[in-house]
Amino acid sequence: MQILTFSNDNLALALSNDYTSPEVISSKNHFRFLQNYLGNSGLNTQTILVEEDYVSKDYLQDYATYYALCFEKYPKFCKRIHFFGNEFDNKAISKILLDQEQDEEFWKNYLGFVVVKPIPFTIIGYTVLKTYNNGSGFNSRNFWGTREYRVHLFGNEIKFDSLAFQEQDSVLSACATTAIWSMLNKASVDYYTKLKSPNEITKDADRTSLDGSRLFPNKGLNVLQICKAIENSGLVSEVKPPNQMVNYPELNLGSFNLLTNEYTKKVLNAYSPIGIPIILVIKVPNGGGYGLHAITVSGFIQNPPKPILPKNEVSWLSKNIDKFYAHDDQWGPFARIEFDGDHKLKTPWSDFDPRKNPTFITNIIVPLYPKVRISYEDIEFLVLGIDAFLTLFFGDLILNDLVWDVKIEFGNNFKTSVKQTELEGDTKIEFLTRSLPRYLWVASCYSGDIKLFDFTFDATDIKSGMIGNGILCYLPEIEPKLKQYLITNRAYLEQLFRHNSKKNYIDFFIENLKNIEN
Amino acid sequence: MKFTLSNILKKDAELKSQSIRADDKTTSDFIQKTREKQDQVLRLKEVNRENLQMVVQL
Repeated sequence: MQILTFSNDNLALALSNDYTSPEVISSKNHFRFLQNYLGNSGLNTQTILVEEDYVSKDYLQDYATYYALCFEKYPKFCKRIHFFGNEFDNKAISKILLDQEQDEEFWKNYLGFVVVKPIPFTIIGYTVLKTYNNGSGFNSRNFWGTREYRVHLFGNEIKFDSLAFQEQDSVLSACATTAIWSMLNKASVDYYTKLKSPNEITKDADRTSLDGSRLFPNKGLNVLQICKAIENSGLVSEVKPPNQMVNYPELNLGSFNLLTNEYTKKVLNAYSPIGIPIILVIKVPNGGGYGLHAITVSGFIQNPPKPILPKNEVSWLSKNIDKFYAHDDQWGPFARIEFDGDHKLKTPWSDFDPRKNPTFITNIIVPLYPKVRISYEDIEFLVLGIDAFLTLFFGDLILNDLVWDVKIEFGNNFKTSVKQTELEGDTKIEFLTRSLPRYLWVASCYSGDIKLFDFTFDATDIKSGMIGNGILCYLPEIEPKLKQYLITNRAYLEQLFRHNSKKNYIDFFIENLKNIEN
Repeated sequence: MKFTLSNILKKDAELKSQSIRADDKTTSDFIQKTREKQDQVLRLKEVNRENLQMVVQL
């Protein structure tokens, strides 16, 4: 055990190994990132504790597959460096360790660890660091893709929420493999999914490289291979392809396809409640040109609904997401990424690019439990129809535009959130005692910051069916009038819900709206 | 806090269940525009094979 005061030099020293000097460490992107993340503008680390001869199961699997077979005598033991928010020396930590009871006050200062692998340059192994402040509501950092970790150190157990990180070793894993690995660290909390090591994930993707040569050293995966690896871990993928072609002459890229920031925000917002980190394929400035890279999104900040004057376009609450947090294996965990206008992102790649060229999104890969069968786009189609009839119903009488928040929820979590609402007692009991599918799409409609409706849809159904599940109306005075409006104009409004199912959406809305004014 | 209809409507506005007239061009244009937006959303689900083959390698 070695205790070091936190400083840039000591951080570089702690991260170095027999193959990589502190000077080389200081030149790595990860070092620049960790300086900020752990420094006084971040977690405010005061002390580094170095644990020698650490057995990392994750590294051992890769070691057994590859490094053990090299002629060079790569060690199988790693070192683990721990970070603390308080100052202490060898004498103080010895006293803490000798206490028969765990000193909870001391361990509250624990900030997480980095495993340093005994290989050249790509030394950042299994890493679990605390997030910045975490909250679940509006205006706070919402790390929906994290889970509880239990760290065992010298006979003590420390628990906190995070998401594991590591850098690609460019042998057994490239960025896509590492992005999947981070995602599986959360998804595997559920029994459907198996957590695999980077080499197993790469092998799951294909038998050979895309150019027909050997799989290892790995040269990267394409989107289909990423999906195949995800499927082999027990999940399924929804791939969101580019939805717009653009041309930025100053970048000399010609015309290229990307996902707009508006669509990306909708997708991140929609799938976040399931809690499985989402993989983004991004086009990043690199070495004077551009390259494709994969990152894993695990949180974002969203502003609350605000009054918007009625307008022609449909308004989405997802627009209030300004920035998100992603594991970027070439920088670090929970890297802050900001939306910039309609198409651009501000990432560490752009910040450290000599010309500050922007980053773009080319694909979103949403890993999901197999039982989720209805996609976001199927629900947006229906919401556009509902927004249209509500807009016609309210006419020019409404003060603020209708704003939609579309999300997939666990049925039980949605019941818990309904319990906290101001709904009438009878309505609440009726809803809470209903049987619900495991996954539910919920389209919440706001006017200003006042919630008007939750429309729920069965996310486990088949899309050719009528998937309407229920309606919760938070202003009961609306219900009888809206019901009458739908009955009167049924034939006209049916064209908003083109559908092959015998059961009609307008009939579903009429059946689920109450008659009596309270 | 409990809200009422008056919190979301303009002053003195009264919500009524009016019927849509068959010759109301503004409404039929609005519905047509909504249908076009719905078609755009469905197009997001179309498969882009070239895009799926792009190698993510940094």
